[in-house]
Amino acid sequence: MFQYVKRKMAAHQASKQNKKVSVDPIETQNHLTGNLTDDMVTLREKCGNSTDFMSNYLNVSGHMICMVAEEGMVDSAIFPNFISTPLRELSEDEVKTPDDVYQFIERKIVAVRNLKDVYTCEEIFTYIMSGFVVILIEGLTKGIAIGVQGFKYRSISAPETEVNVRGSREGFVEALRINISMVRRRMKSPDLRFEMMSIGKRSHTDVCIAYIEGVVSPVLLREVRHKLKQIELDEVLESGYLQPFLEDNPHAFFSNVGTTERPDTLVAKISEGRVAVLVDGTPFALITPYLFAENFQNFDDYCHKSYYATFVRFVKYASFFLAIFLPGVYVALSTFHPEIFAYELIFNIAATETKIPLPLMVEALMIHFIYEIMREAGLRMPAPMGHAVSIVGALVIGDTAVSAGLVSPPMVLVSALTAIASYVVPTLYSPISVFRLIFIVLGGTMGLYGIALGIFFLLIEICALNSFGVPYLAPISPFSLKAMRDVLVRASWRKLGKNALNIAKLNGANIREGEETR
Amino acid sequence: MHTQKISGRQFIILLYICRIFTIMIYNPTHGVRYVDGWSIWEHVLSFAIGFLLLIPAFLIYKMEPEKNVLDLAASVLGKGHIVVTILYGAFLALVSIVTIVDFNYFMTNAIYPEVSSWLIVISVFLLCFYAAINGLEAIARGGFLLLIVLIVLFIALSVNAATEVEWVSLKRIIDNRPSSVFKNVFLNLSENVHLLGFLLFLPMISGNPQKHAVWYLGLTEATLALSCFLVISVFGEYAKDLSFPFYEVSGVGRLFSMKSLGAIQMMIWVFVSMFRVAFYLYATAYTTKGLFPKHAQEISLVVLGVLILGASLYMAVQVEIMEPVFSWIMDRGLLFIFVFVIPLILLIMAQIKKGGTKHAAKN
Repeated sequence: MFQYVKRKMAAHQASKQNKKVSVDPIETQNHLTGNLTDDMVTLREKCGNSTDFMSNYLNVSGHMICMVAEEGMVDSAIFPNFISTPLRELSEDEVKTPDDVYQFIERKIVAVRNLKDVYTCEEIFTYIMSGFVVILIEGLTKGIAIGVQGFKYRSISAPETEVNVRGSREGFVEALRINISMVRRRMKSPDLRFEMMSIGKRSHTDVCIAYIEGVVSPVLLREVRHKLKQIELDEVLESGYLQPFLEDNPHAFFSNVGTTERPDTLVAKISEGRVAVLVDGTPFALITPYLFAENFQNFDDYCHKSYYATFVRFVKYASFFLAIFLPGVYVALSTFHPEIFAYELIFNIAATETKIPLPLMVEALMIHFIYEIMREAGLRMPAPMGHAVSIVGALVIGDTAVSAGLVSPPMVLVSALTAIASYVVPTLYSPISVFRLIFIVLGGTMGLYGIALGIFFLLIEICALNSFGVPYLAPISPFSLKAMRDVLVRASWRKLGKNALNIAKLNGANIREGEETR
Repeated sequence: MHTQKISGRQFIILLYICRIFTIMIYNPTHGVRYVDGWSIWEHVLSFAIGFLLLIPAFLIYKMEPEKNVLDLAASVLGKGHIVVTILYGAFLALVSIVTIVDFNYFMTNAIYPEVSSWLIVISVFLLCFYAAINGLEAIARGGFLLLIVLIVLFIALSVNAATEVEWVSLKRIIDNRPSSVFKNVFLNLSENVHLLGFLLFLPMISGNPQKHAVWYLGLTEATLALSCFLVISVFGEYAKDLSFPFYEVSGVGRLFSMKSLGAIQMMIWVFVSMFRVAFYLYATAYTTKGLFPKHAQEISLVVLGVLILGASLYMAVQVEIMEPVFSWIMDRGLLFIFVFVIPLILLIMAQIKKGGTKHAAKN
């Protein structure tokens, strides 16, 4: 320690006098020096003597070793029983040099086989913060990291955002290694590959790319790798941080990178030539390329009979159109084109609307905005207060507002139907909720002409999107008859199983490398 | 500006949608179709002559599949190709302007008489401009979806109007004169500006050009025939007194509990118009991008867009003055010059040049 301080002072003096001094290699490269004391000083300095940084010195037959780890990250049963104890019991005959100690750890400790060599302080921190124990040996310029992770993580439970009647009840958890094992269990093929990388300058978050060799397009894989490597964020705490970097147009209303919490869904997607990205710390995996039609596909579809699955698909498509267009079309028709309704219906609507002081467009905007407030409140509030929100919502909107003459019953019906319909396709909720309001304004100001303008914009918005060179609207447009067997309808498994779909081979797909990747 | 290849099917659908715009805005005051009688033969003749008009386009494609008529002009005329580019660009810009003005005329006369023309023109233009920026591929993909809606519309209109059909109105088919048939053929082909698509975009289209032409001409003529049949069989002699006869067809009959399909038809025609405007905006920018310096080619669409918007706004307000001018320009066979005459001259010049080069090489 004293010699280290002397060296630091000398370097400081030299820099003041602008003299060239050979700077300690630790300052530039942080490589291990082999001097256990110096290395430990460096490590403690770097982590600011953090409370959770643990170190334990041990004399192994005359050779000093130090075991470093992070508190709470290590398995408290495996480490002492299978590593500490065997090391303590070593005799002097068995280990004569520091390298012998290293060889003993590498070859004799069989309980744990996840062993990595470490050479720098950065590597040490990366491993110990991932639940490894790093053993530094006096006289050796490398250490050994032993995977004895024992940190607590949420147990595997049913995914909350993708609810199914049939199918597995397992959803991804926050621990990346557990998620990888869940995927591996479902596809016992050596072609299923996982590639690890670290993203986040400070967080060094583990990110894993999953794909099937021989099925995935090599160009697509290179593009995904390249885009992930270009990310320069300080922290990556959720897969949503990476999502905009994988999208072709991050400002588009629709995302062409999908997410899933289900390992079975992920396996099904990568079997079609897609690439999945798993991020440590979040149960939401990313899937790319992602197409518009996939928003209407659900794992349950493949577990039911094809006629029922087809019926459910139609219900989903109808729900999407209802959720996005119904309020705007209702406002447009009632305000500008009442002649289209049957007489009985128009008389009923007119009778209720005459009592309402607000224009129909304002009424529609008001009720939908109130609904969004209640929805957001329902998401964020603590569970014990759930009853209060339900009562307020039911009474305020369902009864009191109608009785007070602020809202008409047909409008309440329209907004309720719209709200329910928007939850049938939860992945599209964001664009639906925004476009719904836009269509209300367009319908209320310009009638069906305004609705037509809005639909045109929406259509071009969707049609212009590509997901890694695959048209977002494929296989609907550009049309691909073979692929349509799993879009509007769900063909039987006898047909689906015959020719597996590959996303790179859809009509119009043109997966190619970007300028930067070439 | 995106220049990705599109499939032949998408190309045909796009041209088809552009073509049937004519049905919506057809007004008997500047056409003869419903006045002097209609014959199925005019569609058969239009199909045949239209195919013959495309022969220069097929020959250009056969000569060099990666080149269009402008590239041919560049290789034959050298710097003189700028004149050809300007001519084609101006014609395409005129089509865009005429489309916007006709659409505005339809909307402000049939649907929203109280709405300002400026609102209609600006709103349509802005969205079509956005579509043109996104490229031909985006417009073509959307066109396929619109085609499905159009098919449903035509079926619904046919079913809706079926109860109102008077077969006796069709006796004029037997009575009409050959001269009116040829007149209608000439008018039909003059309106078919979309044949220019074969001259400009074939290098971007995959598949056999002749097949594409057959499909395009067949589908459009069949649709025109159906629309004429519906109008004449439902309205008879009264058709010539209607401002927008095909739009009026949607007002007859009753489909389920809906009393009138007019509002829905209007909405669909809005889509058709916007696709056509977007396509021609893109075509104008694509054609004239070579006139701009390389570093400024991306803004060619913006510059042309501003000019087209300005011209459209002026002409929409002055439509009573401009309408005869448009009719004179568009209905006098100007298209034949662009589709047939100019490409044929360029082909002959290319052959002469090629022959001269071979002769020089031999010597």
